[in-house]
Amino acid sequence: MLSLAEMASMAPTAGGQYHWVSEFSPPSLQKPLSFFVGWMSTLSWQAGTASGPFLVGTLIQSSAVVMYPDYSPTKWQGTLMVIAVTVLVWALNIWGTRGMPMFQNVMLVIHVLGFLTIIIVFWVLSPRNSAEVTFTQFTNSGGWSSMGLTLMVGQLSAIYACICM
Amino acid sequence: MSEEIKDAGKTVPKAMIGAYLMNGSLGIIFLISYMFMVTDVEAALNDASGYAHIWVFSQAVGTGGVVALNAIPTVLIFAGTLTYNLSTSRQTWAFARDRGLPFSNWISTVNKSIETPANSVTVTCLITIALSLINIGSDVAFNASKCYDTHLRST
Repeated sequence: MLSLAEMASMAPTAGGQYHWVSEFSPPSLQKPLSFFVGWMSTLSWQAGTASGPFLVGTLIQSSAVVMYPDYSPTKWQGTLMVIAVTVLVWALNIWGTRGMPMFQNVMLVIHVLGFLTIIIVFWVLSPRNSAEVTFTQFTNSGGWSSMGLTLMVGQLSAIYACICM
Repeated sequence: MSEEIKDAGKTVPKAMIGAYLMNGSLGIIFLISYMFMVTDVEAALNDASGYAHIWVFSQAVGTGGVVALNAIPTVLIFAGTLTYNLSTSRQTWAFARDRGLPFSNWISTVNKSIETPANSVTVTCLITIALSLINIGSDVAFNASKCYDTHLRST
């Protein structure tokens, strides 16, 4: 994290990693290494960014499931919702970039207030586990061969959260 | 996004570390609280909505409350999605500008009237739509993204 920030400080480009690889590698390897890293990070960004509308679309669908218990959700409806969100993102990111800084500041306020809302509801209204269960009980319900492996697979969640920052 | 920010050499690393520290500390508070509230892991995983946090919310509040609480991450993740998409389009645009991608010329074109690499935004959105089609056929693909449960995404 710190070294990424350091490189972003030295060469703040939109390209990121492949640009830094090119700057730091020996001249003979500059092109192939940077080309490889460029493809890696473009594919990763593209795959990662697809998870955003997916979450928003299916979260809207999950609200519908809660609101109307008779509704049985299908996957294609979820995908249509994802596409609708993507179209909205497309329009806003092409014509709405001027308003983006203001929008993000408002979202920061909502972020903090939303965090407090959920955490207060949790602390006041929710039933809870004992501290022993919370901190010492480990479950392997994914069918992995060992607890260590399960723990490593679980790191995906933490990594995903870090990427999104 | 670094090329569109004033004094990027200082602002960008500060923003990166600030976001990391702030979201990290909020995240750990949230995570531990959440772990206390998941009183039945199996039931949470098998919730009809497909999202474990909906089950956790439903233990604390009624139907309307669950939808209201669920709106918070929905809106925040939408905001995160906007910036994620924007960053992705800029990264892709930069690589196309260095002639690293097929159709680099077209992708790296900046729309002059709105001063935005609009073609790159369009490509990014088309790839997102193509990837969203996976969801129709598969139960496992994209399941990894459910892991956001533990965390309100940064805006």
